[in-house]
Order: sequence, then structure tokens, then C-alpha cells
Amino acid sequence: MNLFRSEEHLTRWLNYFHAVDDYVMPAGDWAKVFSATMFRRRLEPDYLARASEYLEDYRQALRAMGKTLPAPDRVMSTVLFTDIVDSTRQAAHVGDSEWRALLKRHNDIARNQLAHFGGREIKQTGDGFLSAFDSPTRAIRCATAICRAMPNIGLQVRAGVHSGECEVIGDDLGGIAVHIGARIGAVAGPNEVLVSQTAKDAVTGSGISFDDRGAHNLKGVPGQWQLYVVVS
Amino acid sequence: MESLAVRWLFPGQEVVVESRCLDCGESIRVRTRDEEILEINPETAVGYMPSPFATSRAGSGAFN
Repeated sequence: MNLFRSEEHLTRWLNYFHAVDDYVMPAGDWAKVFSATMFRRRLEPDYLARASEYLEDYRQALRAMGKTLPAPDRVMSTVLFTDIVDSTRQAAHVGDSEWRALLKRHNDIARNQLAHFGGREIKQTGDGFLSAFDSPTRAIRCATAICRAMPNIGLQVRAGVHSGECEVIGDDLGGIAVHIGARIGAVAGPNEVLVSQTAKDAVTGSGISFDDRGAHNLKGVPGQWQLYVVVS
Repeated sequence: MESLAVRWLFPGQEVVVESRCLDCGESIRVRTRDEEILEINPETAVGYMPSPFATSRAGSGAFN
């Protein structure tokens, strides 16, 4: 950001291009915008991991100053979150060296299944993966295959699947649909694949069966969410 | 990182941003402490963001 002594000085500046004057504000207003969570939490240890979550808060701060923003790129996608159950206890039980080897085997299995079902690995999330699929059926089948394979190496995995519009942030995905997928995954039990109503409805006719798991509150997500566990 | 956001790296401390107007070269001073804006001199000072950076990837560009 460039500072000018007044708007008059700005418009006099040779490089000023008035078509983008959406991004001109009094310095005091900018200071308020830069009070958004995205900036004030900079010193927190998980800042980088959570930066994409803070982006919406930052946009809201700009909107509060009357600024309109270009819409981010959004794509319809099915997100799959997988996570190793009780990983800390297992790591402590087997020791660092063996745990590293086990994690590598876990990652190899998960990546093989992702490749087989046409999923795209977005990122590793602690002891699991966030991946994206064009097809919710393939996402659910991939999640099921991963959950079934992991007990062979002594691990249990939980999985959450949700379909919705995601924001494209470079190679990453963001937005509320991704958060919902993560929260659904966190609710799943060992070796369970839990899906949202949206994902379930989208695979009608695929032959996948579900049991109703009832309505859940997902932390930080408004409303109640009907969840279903994959049974075959 | 944006200069007006740098105060969050120094919680509880007064942070002074000294800059120059790109048009005339005269000084611009912004004094803050956490949430508080203690001084903007001159009061008419404006900030100009030349790109729609809100859509940039978190952790790069304008956020560093």
C-alpha cells in the first residue's frame, strides 16, 4: 500500500489509475481494516495453517469500509478429510522411529487410493489429508477404501465428505465448504466415513448405502447438519 | 506485511510508521498501539492499494 498526504496528492500522482479507486481509503480506515483477525493473529503459532480461514474476516473488514471486492474463483467440488484416530497415543506407544515409518505407509496407502479414485491431494493436515474430487461417488469410495486398508497396518482412520462450492486459493481450496468437510470428519468414529446430506443426495443411484446419524452441530458452522455414515 | 498491520507484531507497544507521500515527498506519520490509532499526520492522509489483493493467496504477497 502507498501513502499520500491527501486524495488530491494521490490523483496528482502520475502512476495513479483511477479505475481501481476502490482501494483508496483514509489511512485511519486502512488501520481499522488491518485490525482484522488475519493480521492481529500473526504471532500465533498456527497462523500460517489458518491464514485461509482468516481471509473472509479480512474481506468483511473491507466491506465494512464500503469496499466492494472481486468475487474469488469458486468451483463445485467434493472435499474429503481423512485423519488417523488417536495418533498421539499411537505415536507415543510405538516411538518416533516406528511412527515415522507407519506414517509413511499410511501416506502411501492414502495417495495410492487417491490416485486410483481420481482424487487430488490438496494438502496434509496433521495426520491426514484434505483432498478434492470432481465426483462425490469417487470421494466416498476412496474414503471407504482408505478406511478399510488402514487396519492392515494397525491404524484406524476417520473420514468426512462434503460437496459444495469451494474458493480456489492458488493450489489450495478454502471457504465454508472446506470447513464443513473438516468438521464432519472430526465427528466420524474410527473406520467411519461420514457424509453431509448434500454429498449423500448427490450420489443417489450410485449404489452406496447410508445409515442416518442424525442432526449435528458443527463447530463454527451455522445451523444443524444431518450426517450419514457409509455402510456399503 | 502491510505497514499499518505491523503493530500486531508488537503487542502493547506504540508503533510509529514514518512514510513519504509518493506525490510530494512530504512526511506522513501514523502512530498506533494495538487497536488504538494515536495519530495520523496529516489527518487527510490516504492509502492506495494498487491491486485487488484481497483475492491473493494467503501467506503470500500483500500478507507478508
